[in-house]
Amino acid sequence: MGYDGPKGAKVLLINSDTDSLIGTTTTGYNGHWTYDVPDGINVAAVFQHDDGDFQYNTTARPYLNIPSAPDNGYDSFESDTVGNSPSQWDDQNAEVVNSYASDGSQSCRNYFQPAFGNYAIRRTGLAASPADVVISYRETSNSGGFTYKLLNGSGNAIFKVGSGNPQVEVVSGNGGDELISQPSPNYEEWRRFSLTLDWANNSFDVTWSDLTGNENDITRTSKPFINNSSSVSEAWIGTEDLPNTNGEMRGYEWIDNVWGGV
Amino acid sequence: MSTISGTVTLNDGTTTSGVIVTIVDTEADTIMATTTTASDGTWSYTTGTNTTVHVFFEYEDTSTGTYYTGDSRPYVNTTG
Repeated sequence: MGYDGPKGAKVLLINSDTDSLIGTTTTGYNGHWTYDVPDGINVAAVFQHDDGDFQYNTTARPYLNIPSAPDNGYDSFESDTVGNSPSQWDDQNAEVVNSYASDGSQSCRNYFQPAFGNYAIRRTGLAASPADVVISYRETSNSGGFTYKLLNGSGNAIFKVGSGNPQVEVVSGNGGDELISQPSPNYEEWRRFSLTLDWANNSFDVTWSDLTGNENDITRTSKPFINNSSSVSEAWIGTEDLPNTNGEMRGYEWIDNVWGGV
Repeated sequence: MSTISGTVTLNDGTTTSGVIVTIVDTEADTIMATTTTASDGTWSYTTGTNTTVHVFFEYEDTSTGTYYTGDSRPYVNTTG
């Protein structure tokens, strides 16, 4: 025999760290309630119920610790010093800037204009098998584009994605090179690749998004890895002569919110 | 003005300082104030009249790392 809690009781969610009200809701069937609260805070849930005849005393539930979102390996460059190199990466000519950020207030600007095959920023020594990876980017009129790729323990690419100002390119296994978009305008808009990696089947799904909403999302699924692997050893952003991009890949773009295993 | 007050006791009947007392204006759904108990467990807060507030309590015993579930007192009416 169970106990059914009251329907229609008011629930107040309070941020105990800031002493501010997050929101209110009411209980539904069996007294159940849910509420989405921000990550990484302490919450007190407080209850009130007036059934028309009685106003009830209640027991609060303080110290509901909402854990921070798990470290997902993204770098938004927020902990770096503006004007310095991105601290989590090896770089050849990149610096953290406080302009044109898509996540937080800082981003990484790449000034590197190297020969093909050189990295602008990279992070080595990883041993991760992330389910999701992402990179946000914004090109300029001086940008030729970039390639973002993850390498396996043998130094071979698992996949490559890139932009050639504006050609959007996805490189997968079995010779799969696909031009998936040529957005307009060519540059000065934040765009993003979001990938889901299926390590069991050595394949990935990729969605390209224009964060301004000027272009529809484009998704490709079950693209095979270029080289099979079970983990990432290196995250690499630099210049490569990707197909369909007129061989223009070179620097001068902003990067933000990028998975680098950090 | 009206003053609301009380004494917080732990389950074993002892009193303690440092219990956080939060007063919620349940008509406006805002946090009106927070205060803490004195060493004898007492607390008080002066508020406006003709207001309905909800008072609840939070307490962490830092010496033992114990977090307490606190009773709350909704529907506290301050009269003029």
